[in-house]
Amino acid sequence: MKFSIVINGAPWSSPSALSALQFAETVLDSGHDIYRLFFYQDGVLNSSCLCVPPQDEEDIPARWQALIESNDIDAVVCAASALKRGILDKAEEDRYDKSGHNLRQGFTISGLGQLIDATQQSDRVISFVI
Amino acid sequence: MILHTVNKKHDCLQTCISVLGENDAILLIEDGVYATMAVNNGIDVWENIPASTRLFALENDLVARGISDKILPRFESITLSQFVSLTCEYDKVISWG
Repeated sequence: MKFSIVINGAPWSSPSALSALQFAETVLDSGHDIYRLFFYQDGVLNSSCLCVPPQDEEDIPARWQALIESNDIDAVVCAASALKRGILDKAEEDRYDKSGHNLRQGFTISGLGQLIDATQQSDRVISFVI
Repeated sequence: MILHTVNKKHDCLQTCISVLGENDAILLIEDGVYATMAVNNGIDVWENIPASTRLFALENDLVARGISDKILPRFESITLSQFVSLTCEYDKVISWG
């Protein structure tokens, strides 16, 4: 089956992001496909490359990146949610004249239309709410 | 046939129960798994749910909270892999939180 997964929770703030990550890993382990990961609301914080968790805690953003890159998954970060939380790629850095960007490799900033498309193209859309 | 996932044990669980359809099932995840214990705040939330309604709780979350041996007998403890299978078995998934 084709799954899309919506991630609403920031890493470490609630169990939501880790639940979504473990679910996504298990979807692939079970032989299904992931059409899209959609990072929404506080979930966009999973896409920062500047998180430095303590060594004895899960590096949730790094695990997302590994999953995305090793399985060539489309990982979309909601633009409106991302910009106001300080998640920027190079294009947004230039557009808003900011001093840096921090979007992790493998993630793409795009719009809510990608969530609508995911609901139309996937057999199942599973949301992990906070 | 809807699979309802619930990740807290209070208001959202009550709302979920109030709209439950005949062939729907509930899967408790995260802090929602505390509702697998017999009585919460003196209220048995499962009292009026038909015996035919399937009730699940995610094993990882039960173990993480140290309550896997305290759950009501009508709950089935499931793995992440069974969670994925359930989302295929049911037509839709609604996430309550």
